[in-house]
Amino acid sequence: MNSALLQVKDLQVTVGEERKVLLDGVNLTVNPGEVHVLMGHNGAGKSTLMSALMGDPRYTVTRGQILFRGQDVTHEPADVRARLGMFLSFQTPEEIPGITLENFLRTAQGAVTGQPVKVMAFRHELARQMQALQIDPAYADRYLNVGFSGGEKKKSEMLQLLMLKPKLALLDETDSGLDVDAVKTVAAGVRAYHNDDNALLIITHNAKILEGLTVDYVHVLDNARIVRTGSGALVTEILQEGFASVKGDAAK
Amino acid sequence: MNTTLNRLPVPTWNRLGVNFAPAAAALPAVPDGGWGAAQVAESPLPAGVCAAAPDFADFSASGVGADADAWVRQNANFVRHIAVNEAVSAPLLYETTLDAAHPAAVEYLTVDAAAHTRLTVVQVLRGDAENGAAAQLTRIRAGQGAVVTLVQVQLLGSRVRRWNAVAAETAQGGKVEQVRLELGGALTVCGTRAFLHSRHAAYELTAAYYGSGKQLLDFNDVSVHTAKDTVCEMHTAGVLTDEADKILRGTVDFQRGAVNGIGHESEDVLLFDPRVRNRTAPLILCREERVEGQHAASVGRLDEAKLYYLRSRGLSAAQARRLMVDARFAPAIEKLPGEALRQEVRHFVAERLDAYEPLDR
Repeated sequence: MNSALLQVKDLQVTVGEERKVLLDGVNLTVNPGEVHVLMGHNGAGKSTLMSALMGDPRYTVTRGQILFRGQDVTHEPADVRARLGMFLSFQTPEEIPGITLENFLRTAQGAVTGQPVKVMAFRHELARQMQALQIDPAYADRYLNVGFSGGEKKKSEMLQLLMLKPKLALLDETDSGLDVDAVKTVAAGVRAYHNDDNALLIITHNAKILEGLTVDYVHVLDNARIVRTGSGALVTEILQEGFASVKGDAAK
Repeated sequence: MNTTLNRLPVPTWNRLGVNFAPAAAALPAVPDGGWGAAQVAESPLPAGVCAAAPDFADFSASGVGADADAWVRQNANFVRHIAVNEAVSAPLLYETTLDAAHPAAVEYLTVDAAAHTRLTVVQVLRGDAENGAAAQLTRIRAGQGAVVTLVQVQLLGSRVRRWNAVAAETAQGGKVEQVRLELGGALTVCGTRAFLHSRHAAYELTAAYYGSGKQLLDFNDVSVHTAKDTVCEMHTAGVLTDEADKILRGTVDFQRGAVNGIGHESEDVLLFDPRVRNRTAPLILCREERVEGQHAASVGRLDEAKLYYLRSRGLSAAQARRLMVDARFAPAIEKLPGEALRQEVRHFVAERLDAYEPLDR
């Protein structure tokens, strides 16, 4: 019986025809209800890991396995993973002209649930979540991310998270580029999303988004590998002393 | 001979290849023994509309050109001349179907709308036939304060070549509104020329096209303003896949006398394939100083990054493409009369999209 939400086994990820290795031998297990934080220097491979987990076609898995809810999704496209309950909050969300935010969310909700969307209930929830995230209701009729500021794009990602209710949320620096108030709003959104049935894997450099969350595990990535895994206290240690103090210990 | 089709009102460099339609767009040779009959189902003329003797001898040329207009008039196998004498709410419907027994439809329609009348004319083309040919010339005279809406829906199969010539003359306060969806066929040649010769005359075009395979699409839409306070809005959305080759010419021509004239034109085209050839030639001609002319062109690609983003939210690649297309075509589809026709169009587009096989990236 496999109760883990996500299992990453000996993952090797390469990019390009020259097969440059970006991740090598990564192991990771995420259970329902847990909050994991991924930290590391710029270029350590954090975003690559998130992208590889979501099925970004730029990257190739050359060894290892990704199991999600017991299913091998190593070579599945992103939509299959999303329908199984995986969600990536992009560091730089794409702009999609021609499709309004509301239309996109309604279509996506229908896609991930496999059920027809009840329009009135959907609109009601959309309005509620937009209000909670302090997003101008007029943005529902704007083209997806087109002309949005950096902060508005991050809020748009958070809105999608709250509307699509995935089992596993991968947050790739969702708190970067936000002002103090916006970080608090997004952090509140993360808390509203999290429960015992879902899990979070969060990349952050300043931990503001972790406010009010109990972090179960912190993983430090360096040079394409997880070099250390520890408790939530590791976040404070890294923020105070830097990565030098934690590198060198073997990953658990 | 071919150079007479879809001429840009003021030529630009020949090497751009947009001054007129290419040789492949040439009008078809008339077969020995003529075309045979066209298969056109038409709704009965409603009260307020009657058959009329044509009075279009000195009428403006269409956007396709005077030679093409003359060719259709001479070779037409379906001719109707109607006069509108009051405001009519029910649309007048002409449904053309091509098949093996009726491979050609050459249609000539004139609409003479008296002052302060209103009518919607709907032309739908369906079917497929080996060496099929569908050519239409539609001439509209909108009298003072009259509003004529011309809805054209082309859902032809991949073996049919299609020419669509429209000419409109609009009197004071009159308006011609055209909704044009060109979604099928092997060749599509369309040209509308609206002549706004009286004060407050207006022309509005809402158009959509879908090109795939090795399809050639050639458009030439011209709004000619010669009177004060004339207005035109010409907006086109398109989708191109495979090796489709499209030229869209859009001209707003403010001639002397068009004081306070307004002309806006735009094109928003979505390219699904790197093999597509997409050319747009917007043109604004001004012989008056106090006019407002704007053109906008937007070219989008559903590149790998955008596709991945949409797929990361659970949409399959086909769903992502369909969402993009539906969004672009919605303004034109929503203007179609009747939910049945709207559904038919959506279904036709969906089938074409489903048939599209993107290149392996």
